[in-house]
Amino acid sequence: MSEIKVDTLTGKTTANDITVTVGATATMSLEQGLAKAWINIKGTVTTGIQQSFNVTSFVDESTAGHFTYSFTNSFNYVDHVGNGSVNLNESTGYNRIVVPYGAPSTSQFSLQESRADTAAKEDAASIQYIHFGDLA
Amino acid sequence: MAGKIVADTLEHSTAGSIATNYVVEGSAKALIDFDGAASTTVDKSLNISGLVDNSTGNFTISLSSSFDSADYYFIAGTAGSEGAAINAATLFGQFDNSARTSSQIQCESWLTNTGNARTPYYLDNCDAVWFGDLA
Repeated sequence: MSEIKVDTLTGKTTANDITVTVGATATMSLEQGLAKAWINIKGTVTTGIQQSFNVTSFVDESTAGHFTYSFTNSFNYVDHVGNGSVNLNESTGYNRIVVPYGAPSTSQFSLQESRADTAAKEDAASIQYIHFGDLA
Repeated sequence: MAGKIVADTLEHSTAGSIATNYVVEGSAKALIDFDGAASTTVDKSLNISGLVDNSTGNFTISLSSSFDSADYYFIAGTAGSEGAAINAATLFGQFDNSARTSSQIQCESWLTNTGNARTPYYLDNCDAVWFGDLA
């Protein structure tokens, strides 16, 4: 077994381009495949972040289910890739969904969580979102 | 010529260590962010070779490097309308599983709050992520 002890991995030719073998022969960029930010929100309390990575300054907006958070390190373009999930309404059994809210930004993200059948906005107990893409 | 390091573990001085298989297997192998309302405009992608607009909200996404099978892990589910408040419940997800192969997948974006049947709809912020082993 081999082990590398290192604090930073940097591409030799291009700083953010390290190639990783990910299949029998296939290779890909290490940097592009890594999640750059993620968050676990408990929407039913005021200070809702349970765990997070590369996230700061969380805001529970006035509308139910609407949250905004900033990235510690911003993305280098607005159209980074993200996806999320939310728990169903335990008391009623209604399905819920979470979607991006408003115009995208490199430095912050806003999400809206609501009932799938009516689009009624609710505060859910467990909302997760993950972001991929290139940081600035 | 670039160098190559073969290692089983990466260790940071303070943040702990990770077996490199977690780096390889835990990294997304494909990403896409596209504007479905603008048909086939891809805003950001990794390992994506094509996006075909089949019908309203229905797309086929092709991969540059294929997975080793069709049983990869695919995450979609969120799509939204940029620049405006969300006034409808929306989803973006896999459509027809028979169209799912190691190199492509069929997806659809739709409204969920329009009755029992989904309503296919063009949404302008469709995102998806793939995990698994490439061929």
